[in-house]
Amino acid sequence: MDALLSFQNVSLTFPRGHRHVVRALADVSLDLARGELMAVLAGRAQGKTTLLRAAAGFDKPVHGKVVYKGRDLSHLSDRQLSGLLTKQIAFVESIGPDLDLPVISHVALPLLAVLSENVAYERANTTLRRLGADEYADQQWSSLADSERVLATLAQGLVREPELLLVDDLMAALGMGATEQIGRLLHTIAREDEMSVLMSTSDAEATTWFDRVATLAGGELYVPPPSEPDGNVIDFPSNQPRSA
Amino acid sequence: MVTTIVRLMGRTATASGQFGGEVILGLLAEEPSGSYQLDRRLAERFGSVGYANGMAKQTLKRLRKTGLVRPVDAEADVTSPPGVSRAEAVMFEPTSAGIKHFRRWMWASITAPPVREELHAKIALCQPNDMPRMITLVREAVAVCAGRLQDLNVETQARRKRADPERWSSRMDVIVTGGDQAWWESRIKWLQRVRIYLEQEWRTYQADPHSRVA
Repeated sequence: MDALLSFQNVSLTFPRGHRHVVRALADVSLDLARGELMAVLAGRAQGKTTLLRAAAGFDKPVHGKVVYKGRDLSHLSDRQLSGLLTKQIAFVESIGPDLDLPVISHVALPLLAVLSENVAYERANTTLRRLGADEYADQQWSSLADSERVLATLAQGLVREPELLLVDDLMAALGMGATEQIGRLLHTIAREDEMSVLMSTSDAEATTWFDRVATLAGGELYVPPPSEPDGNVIDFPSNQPRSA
Repeated sequence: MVTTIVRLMGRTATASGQFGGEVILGLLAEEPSGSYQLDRRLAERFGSVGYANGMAKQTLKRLRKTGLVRPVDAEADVTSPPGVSRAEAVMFEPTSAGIKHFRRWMWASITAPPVREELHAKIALCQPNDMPRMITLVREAVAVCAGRLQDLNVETQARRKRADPERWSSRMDVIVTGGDQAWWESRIKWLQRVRIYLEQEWRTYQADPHSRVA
């Protein structure tokens, strides 16, 4: 199996005060294949965010290594890492933006450093339309409902056209059925774009459309073996037409 | 999916019946008791399992026949509390074969989900030295549950791809599947909490074996 991202015996601890350390990840190993969707199911304070932050290279392991496309993330320079995070790895979390701007501006923001304003806004628009979120593109971020905010946040990640999307507990605020639908939307997009997704969640329904469901507790990860490929079943197309 | 739930519940019920004997053996190993007292101890320790009143009496009869328990002192003059028959007050204790059987059960893997009920009993009866094995069992149980959740998801995906979203039954199916997923989710989270708690207890016990154990 061609792993896009792999954790090799990763342990990560944080100091708490002078004498104690908090064990956030304990000897975690996983292989995420290209195009694979893996969900990490866990309750609060079990290491979900740390796992995803380590996958994005934000937090460096104390032991072991995190390898993306054969490169150890902790050996990259800040410049190389930030390049990776603009173009290939997108990390999205439910913490909202500091400034209250229209949704479209927030979605276009990651692209403004590398593309012209026109192109950036056009791509932001396409991404929002693809998620079925274009109708509130011009609304202020603070005026969005929870489910709309989830889609807009995903758009911020997807607009980079990443190869790896890291989603940190984005759906905690959503109700029955909604998490499954968003999981399904991610599934469709990931299959169309051959994108890999690593998502943490505390809701089993959100994992319905994921290829594998790992569980995490006290920093220990259990990853079940890969399931059988989809076979000949044809995916539902996403609800929104893709623009050219 | 409704059939799945019913099947699972059925399995739970049979499992309780099957391992009832070991639970009684474990309680007797802690302290010899009569059937009346055992029923009360069962309710106290395993209230949520909902053992029937009188379950102890029948189980004791079965265990005695197979030589796993014996009366503490058959000759002794039993004074029964008011409202309790003499037969219900006779004290039983496990034989050495009974103890051996119980120990084997304690350490045996639990592979058939739902794993909670049997595990529940083992944890309730475990001694400090059993903790490392209990931690392993809980880990195995998490793996089994996560595997089950994944199987359910694969099945759900396949069914939804075939399903007609306009149909009422398909939409109701979404609700029922959500229930199944939530069931495994809560099981996984409970097991994870148990594991972390046991690990803490084990560390405390290793640091000072006399501190927390009476």
